[in-house]
Amino acid sequence: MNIKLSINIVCLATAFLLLSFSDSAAKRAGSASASIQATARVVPSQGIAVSPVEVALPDEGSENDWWLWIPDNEDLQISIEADGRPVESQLLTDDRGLTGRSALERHRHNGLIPHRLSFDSLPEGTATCTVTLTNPSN
Amino acid sequence: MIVALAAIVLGRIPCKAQTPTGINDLTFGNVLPGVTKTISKRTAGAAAEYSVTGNAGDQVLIDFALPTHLKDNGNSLLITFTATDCAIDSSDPGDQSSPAWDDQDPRNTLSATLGSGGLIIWLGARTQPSALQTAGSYTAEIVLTVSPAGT
Repeated sequence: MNIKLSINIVCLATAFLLLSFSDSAAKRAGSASASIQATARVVPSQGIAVSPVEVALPDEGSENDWWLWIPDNEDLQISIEADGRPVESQLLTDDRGLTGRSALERHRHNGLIPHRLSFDSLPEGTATCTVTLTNPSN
Repeated sequence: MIVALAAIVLGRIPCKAQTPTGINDLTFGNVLPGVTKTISKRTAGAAAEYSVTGNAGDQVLIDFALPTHLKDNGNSLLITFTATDCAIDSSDPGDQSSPAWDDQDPRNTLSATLGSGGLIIWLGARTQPSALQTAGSYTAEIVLTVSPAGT
């Protein structure tokens, strides 16, 4: 009788320990985690800061080619004035006349993408342009 | 008796575990000092994306451990999450443009029910570099934890 009682006590104690273990194991087994990285690359403004700022446009070898490197940021709206007049700019970037995304991708550098300014709307020589960058989300 | 005990113990251990996996990093790309940049939860390839596999019909609780800053060599870059930055879908494949659970608040515990393809979870955010933000590559970890509902 005493032996049976002892066995039952041992079994009950074992059950208690197992149930305690199973509770903690259940919590570990029942939840799981995964992680990803949030990444951002802060690039220097390289002379072009948030609006307004004046930049001198160098001539890139052809009197028709005026290049301005604009930060690549989809949130930004860009307007450009030369000597107080609006200047058209285009994302036409390839020396061989290629346009569109492939040309853009090839010219991306340090977070900047080039804009080609319309020759007709620029004065000859070195002009001083005002680049206005606005962020609609601000 | 031992058999009975084993049955009791095993019966208490859930056998329908869900498995989350990180699919895509939250990628801001290039950001400028002083210019806020937002990544929408709808933007494939830029929004954070997780998948959760498990048994269809299982209800789960979803918790994020969200960073407040991205870090780079001791420098900090502010990152914020709003009440509508998370979306969850249970269709297969997940529909990022029209998810079943849209505009969810990732700062709270969320719940969803697994579909035949499990779940896909997207997360957007915004970063607010200061005007004097130091250039560099900033990173932070975003941890997603999935638990069975009711445990």
